[in-house]
Amino acid sequence: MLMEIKKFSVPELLLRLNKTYQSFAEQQNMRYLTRYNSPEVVWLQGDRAAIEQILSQVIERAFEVCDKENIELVVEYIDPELIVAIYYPGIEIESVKFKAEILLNDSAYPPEDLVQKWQMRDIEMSDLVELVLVSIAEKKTWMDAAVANHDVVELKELVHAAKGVTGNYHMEEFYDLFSKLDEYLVKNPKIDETVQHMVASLSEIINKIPLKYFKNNEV
Amino acid sequence: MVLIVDDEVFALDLIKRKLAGSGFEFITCNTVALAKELIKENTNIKIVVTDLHMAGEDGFNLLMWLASEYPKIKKVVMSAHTHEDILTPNNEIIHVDAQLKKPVDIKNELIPMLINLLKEV
Repeated sequence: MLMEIKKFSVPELLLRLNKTYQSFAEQQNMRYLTRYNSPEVVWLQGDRAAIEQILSQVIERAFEVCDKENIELVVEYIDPELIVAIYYPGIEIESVKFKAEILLNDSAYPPEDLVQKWQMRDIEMSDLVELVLVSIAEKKTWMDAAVANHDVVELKELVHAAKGVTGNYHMEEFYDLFSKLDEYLVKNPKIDETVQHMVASLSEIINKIPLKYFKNNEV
Repeated sequence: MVLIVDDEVFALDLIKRKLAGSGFEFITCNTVALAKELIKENTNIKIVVTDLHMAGEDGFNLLMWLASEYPKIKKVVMSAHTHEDILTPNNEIIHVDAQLKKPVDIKNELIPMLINLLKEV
């Protein structure tokens, strides 16, 4: 059977595997982690479905022999190969190699939504990005209350904390806005129209995010 | 051992994930009060990495306490702004061994810095 040759993004594939196996691991009271030591976008030539199946089998074999602690998928690009190894706990159990080429061009693989874009910036933290998002939406409601109460002290603390966490998780759209607001509040420590407008504009970012990311988390 | 102090839970989660497998022995906590207890209990803590601005007792308080009680422990500050001198709210200068500007790149900034500091200890 001829293998269909197509290019696809490795980070997107790893994200999909993360979603599947993180929840599977939780059910087993274990953790599934990914360590991605590669450029932001690595493309593989090959049958994506077949490669996903190979990696799934490697991961599932690890779950069969390991019953506690962490299973870690470590992905590294060493030109011209992508090397994927499974570790438990800290010991390499199995590895596979694929021929791969670097394609450092984000526009070549547009993410589905903002959240996926942030997750692909750091695959290792993809599950936490969703939790951070929910916490930011929660902070937004507290910021609205601080604005309504003209509580600039509370607002400054919330903005500073949000700036820190969104910077850590590469959530640029939020980070840029919180940075500007943080800087503005340092120079103008009062709730004025500019502050009100900037806090309100957070909703524009939140509204771009599909509801599914908030569905399982009360906001 | 390295102690990481930050009141932001997600910041600690990030650091824990990135440091896991790095070879460093480390512990984390989210308050200065707990950090002080851990330092008193663990004589093998050699480096403290702390956020500056935290609710309650803040990083300035921790740094001053370390300078007074545990001067041999290396002090690293994570902050949104780097400062030529770390000044407490009372304008006292605190010497620190390194400063990292947030957001910190754990793999390319924090880990190499910790490796260098541990050589000095």
